[in-house]
Amino acid sequence: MMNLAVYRKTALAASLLLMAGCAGSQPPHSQTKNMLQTYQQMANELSDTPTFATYKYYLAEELIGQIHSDISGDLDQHVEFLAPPLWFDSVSETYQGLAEGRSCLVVNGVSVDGDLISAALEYVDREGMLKIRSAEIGLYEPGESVPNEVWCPVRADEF
Amino acid sequence: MPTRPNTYSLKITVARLLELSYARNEGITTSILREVGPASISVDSNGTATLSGKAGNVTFSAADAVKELGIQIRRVGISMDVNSEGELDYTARFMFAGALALSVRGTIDVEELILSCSGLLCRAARALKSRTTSTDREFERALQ
Repeated sequence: MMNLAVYRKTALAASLLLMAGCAGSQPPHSQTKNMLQTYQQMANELSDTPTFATYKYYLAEELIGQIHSDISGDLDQHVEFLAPPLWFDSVSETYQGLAEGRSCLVVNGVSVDGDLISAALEYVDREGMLKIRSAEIGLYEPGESVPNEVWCPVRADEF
Repeated sequence: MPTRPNTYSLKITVARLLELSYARNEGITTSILREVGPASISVDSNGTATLSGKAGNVTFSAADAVKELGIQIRRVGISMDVNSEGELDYTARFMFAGALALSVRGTIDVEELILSCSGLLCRAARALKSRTTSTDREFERALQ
């Protein structure tokens, strides 16, 4: 029997590869060209090993600090909520670029609960590596339109 | 593992916050919701909520309402705009513990929520303490 996690991983990887060519306006600096690739790698690794240690590798120190200050105990219990890739059952389109001076990746699709969702991740350059600084998921009902452009998430420390 | 909130549960929470404000101060809440223009609701990490608009402010406790989402909330921010047709468009953003934000957009028929639900809003306090499926269905009808 095909393992569900393997199926989801394959489906997500395939759809992300398809969408890679549909990315939106590119920011002027090269680092942000890799946001989708970085996300795809994270999604694959989380699908294989859905632990906080896996997710943490892709996060900026500021976000890791906020998570630790908010949640005590076993963070593995929270990773399915905290990590946007684990919300997705399928991906339909992606956009990446600059919005409000920030570099953001938007991933649209359907959640494992059947909602239309649009996840926005803000990436920052940390010593040559792209790390997630903030994340937000927009939830939509059937019939509603998900954003067809780049938008950026709110930062927890600015909310 | 915490249960993920969905679109429905977030929209119900928005309606409950309006309901709690109405229960706390019917006059100012009605004035804010009927006046064309922007308004907002904020909820802090202690569950203290404030509805703000041109007509004034209403402060109330929303601790139980946000607790029903099942995941610890850091803050809630709802920006609203009432148009001349009496529709309230809103964007609600929930910042959860762990720094993940969820957002939802919607429209509320203010007249339906306030007038035709002369029972609904007045049953606010009871609804919070004794949440029923039928009450949720009534909310759902007022939400789009």
